[in-house]
Amino acid sequence: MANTFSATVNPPDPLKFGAGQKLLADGTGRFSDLCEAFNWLHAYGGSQNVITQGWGDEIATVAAVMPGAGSTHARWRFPQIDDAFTTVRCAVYARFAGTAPATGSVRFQSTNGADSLTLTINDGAAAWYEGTLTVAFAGGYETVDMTIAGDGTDATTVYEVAVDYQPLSSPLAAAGSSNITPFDEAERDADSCVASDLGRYMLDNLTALFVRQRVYYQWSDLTGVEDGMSTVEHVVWIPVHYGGFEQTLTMTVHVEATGVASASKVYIYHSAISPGLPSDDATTTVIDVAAGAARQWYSTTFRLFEAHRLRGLPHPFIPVVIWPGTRDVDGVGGFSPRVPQNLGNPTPTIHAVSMWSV
Amino acid sequence: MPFVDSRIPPVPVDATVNIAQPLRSLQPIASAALHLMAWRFRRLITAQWTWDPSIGYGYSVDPAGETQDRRVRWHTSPLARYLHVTIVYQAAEGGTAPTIALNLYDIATSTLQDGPVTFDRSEGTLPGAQVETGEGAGLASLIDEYPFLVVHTGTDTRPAGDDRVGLLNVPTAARDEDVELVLTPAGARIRAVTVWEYPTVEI
Repeated sequence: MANTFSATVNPPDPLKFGAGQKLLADGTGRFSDLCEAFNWLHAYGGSQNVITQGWGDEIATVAAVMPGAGSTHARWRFPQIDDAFTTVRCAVYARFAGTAPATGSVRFQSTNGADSLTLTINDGAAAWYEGTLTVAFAGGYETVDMTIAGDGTDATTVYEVAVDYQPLSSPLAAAGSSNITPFDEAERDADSCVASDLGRYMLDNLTALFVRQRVYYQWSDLTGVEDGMSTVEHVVWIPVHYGGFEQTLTMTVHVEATGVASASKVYIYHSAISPGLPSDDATTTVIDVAAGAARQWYSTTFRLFEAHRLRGLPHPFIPVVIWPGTRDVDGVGGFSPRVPQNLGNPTPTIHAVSMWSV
Repeated sequence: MPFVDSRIPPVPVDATVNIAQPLRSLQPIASAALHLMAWRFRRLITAQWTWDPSIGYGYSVDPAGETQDRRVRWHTSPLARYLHVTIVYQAAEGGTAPTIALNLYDIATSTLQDGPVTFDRSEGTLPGAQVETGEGAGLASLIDEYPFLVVHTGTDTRPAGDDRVGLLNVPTAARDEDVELVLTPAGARIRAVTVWEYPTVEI
């Protein structure tokens, strides 16, 4: 009665399930594969990077000497994909400039999960270090902080950060609080019954899988080292695929910012890159930061595209441009996002930007 | 997706016998599951590196360019077959044509899985690859003030006939593994990278 699956699972073959056809238990693409596919989808679906970021030499090396616990240097938010995913794997590509037995460290702290992970960074060449961190979700997202520390004399340098949900292992746990109901072998056997609840579970599973969110963008400054997003455009390319299901793509954006003396703005420009698109597919979303506002998170949503307007166009990548406010006008025209001229308008200090979507 | 619901009566599944079929077909469910496996859940990794205008970003890049490798790490899907990589970079003015080499490694074994794929830009043209420049290319305004170029691994410099041409290959040994894509620039600064898995789904 184990909810097993194989990583190299055979996908189900829709042509084997037509009305009037034999419903065969076994055979490539048949009923047993359909059941196992749901287990596989639960384990692997959405189990990808939620944070990917790095810093240049000039910045990372400056970030080095941070003796003691120090303060938070980087902060990100990311969404929950399912209750079954309660840990993330945190990896850094880092080096410590001192000599053994001295070491540096990188510490991750989850806000809702109230867990911490300290990675010991050894001397020598840069290498990958990793560990797991328990996470929990309030409002559908978790916030994770990262702190870099040397030994008081020598520096720790972090070049790259990669945090991801690891795939679940086989056999899967029972449904529990998860939104997915896994299937066991007995339900796939020949001469057993296709119970009515099995069909319902499949539909419920599909619904739960289709709303798993994907992180499209993560950026954090290094507070106290390289504060704030530079006042130039930051571009991320969002690939688009037409599966027949995604008619729109709505992005959720969280921005952590500190206000300045007067009111300021964060602009998010988004557009399709291919010529010929209607201009209303290129729009601007604005986050207002009040004068003197303390460091805090802001969130908004925007519609990135409607699939039917992009179908058939080549290179379906959409640029999203994030820019600390420069002018208080719509900076987008035609099918191309236009970077506004810097007119000296006040710009908030942007500490972090996280963007995800279903 | 009202294809199958709880009103379907229990129906025996038999390996050899043509049984009574449910009132409705399971075909749409199988199609949806296949779609999720093949497309919806392929891995996407986007990475952007902090830029400091004081070191020349947005205005010029030393012809020697950025020499630091950039690394993107993730756990590949068991179904990953190819990688489509999009790079946003800024080329040096003058000097030799910049290049960006891509190499894919298995982290556990430090084994090269594919590469190098090398982009070689010359006079605004990257052989075989898409370069979004100039008016009408859709990014003209973006490059007015802070020029950058975008390249896709639509084509690389490997010879025709190599079945890996066009995309990075994810061999079987690198599927369901922790991998890192190492980008080595010369004469250019890499600003952002998007890695998009393409799956292999064979029924």
